[in-house]
Amino acid sequence: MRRYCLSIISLLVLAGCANVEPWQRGYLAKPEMAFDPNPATAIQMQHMYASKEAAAGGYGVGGGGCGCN
Amino acid sequence: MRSALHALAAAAATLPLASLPVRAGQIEEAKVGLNLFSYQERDGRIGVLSPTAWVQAPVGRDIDLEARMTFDSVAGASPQYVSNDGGTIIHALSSASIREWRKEGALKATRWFGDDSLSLGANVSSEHDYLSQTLSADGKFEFLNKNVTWAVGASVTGDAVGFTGFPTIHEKRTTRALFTGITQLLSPTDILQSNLAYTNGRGYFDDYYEYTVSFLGRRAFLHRDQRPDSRRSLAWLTRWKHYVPALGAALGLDYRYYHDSWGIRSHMAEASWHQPLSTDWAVRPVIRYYTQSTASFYNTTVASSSGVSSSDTRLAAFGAVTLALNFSARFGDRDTVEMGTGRYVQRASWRSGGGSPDLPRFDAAYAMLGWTRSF
Repeated sequence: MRRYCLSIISLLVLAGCANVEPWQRGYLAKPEMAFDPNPATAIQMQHMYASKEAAAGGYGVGGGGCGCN
Repeated sequence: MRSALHALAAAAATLPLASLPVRAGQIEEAKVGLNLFSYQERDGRIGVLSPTAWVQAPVGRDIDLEARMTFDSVAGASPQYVSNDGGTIIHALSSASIREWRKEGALKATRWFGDDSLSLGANVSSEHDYLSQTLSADGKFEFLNKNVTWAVGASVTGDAVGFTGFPTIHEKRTTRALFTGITQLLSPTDILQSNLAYTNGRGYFDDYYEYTVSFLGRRAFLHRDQRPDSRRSLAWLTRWKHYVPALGAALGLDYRYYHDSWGIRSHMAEASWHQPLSTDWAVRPVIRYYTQSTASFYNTTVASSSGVSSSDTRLAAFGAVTLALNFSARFGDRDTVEMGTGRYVQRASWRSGGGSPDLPRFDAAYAMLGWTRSF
């Protein structure tokens, strides 16, 4: 657990090093830069993987359980 | 000159660009969507047809609502038992084809406080022998001129497990989850997200429909799937997106490390390339590699009819590869159509260092079609 906390703290430190001004965010705002271009499809893919693999999670909270796993 | 530059910078900061959804932000327009997901395993195993309808809309100035309904139709043969009859390990499927339906509904309400938000969500998934209910809450907070978003959330899931043919058996499981993550703008073309998710489940984890039959000398043992009554897991997911201005394309790289109290260690790496083909069409190939070690109680041969042991292949050691190709097309200002197809393959030998011996090959294919309308 300690190394995960250190990783998060490292990211926070990293956060202080970068500063992207609002007018520099044109590329970042493009739809293709979304982590999940289609959230409904992403949920279905995660559901498929969770029914065939032991590992799951990391994408957020709120997903429900299922008898398939 | 410097004050003029500062004035220009301050004015630019107020442009609409500043509030563009660099990360998931406040919903600016209502959307409805329909998705159809089709999944088929090879060799006559499970097939799923799964339509989804969803809507997201702003309600007033500061509240967003999201709702989703999914209906799964499942048919085919499922794994039933593992035996060493005849000297080799056999993974046998159920002789009769199963027919199942699953209904899932999800609702989420988000209240915005400037750039920060708090959300409450509920999720219900229902099958004839399984009911899962989840309540969740999460918050997103902006820092450092919106260069950093911190997300934190928690959920609790209650599962009620029943068994076809055994109407008097009812089991329960409760899973509590904690989540935190940071999304960081690294440069005008790079964005990084790193999330930690912890779950703590207690209750019934067995798969009552699966069992192991072992012949040792003149003795035979029949062992029903039995697992520990608790499971704690930690998943660490890191995602990076990089925009390539010269090509107008975006590269995505994801990596997840996972481990749990059952002894399973897993790595997942995924790469995607989002390439616009014209002003309206885009293609997105995806490649994903996944590997996991075995659960500490995974056994394909048992020397007892009781105790914690499972021969479920999902607890075995293997590697898996997904290859997928997705297309999206815009029609006018309001409609978007997405379609995609992919293949998912598991092999024991694809795990670095070797997987579980005697694990059967597993192949599946899927296709999806989606339509979204904005208002």
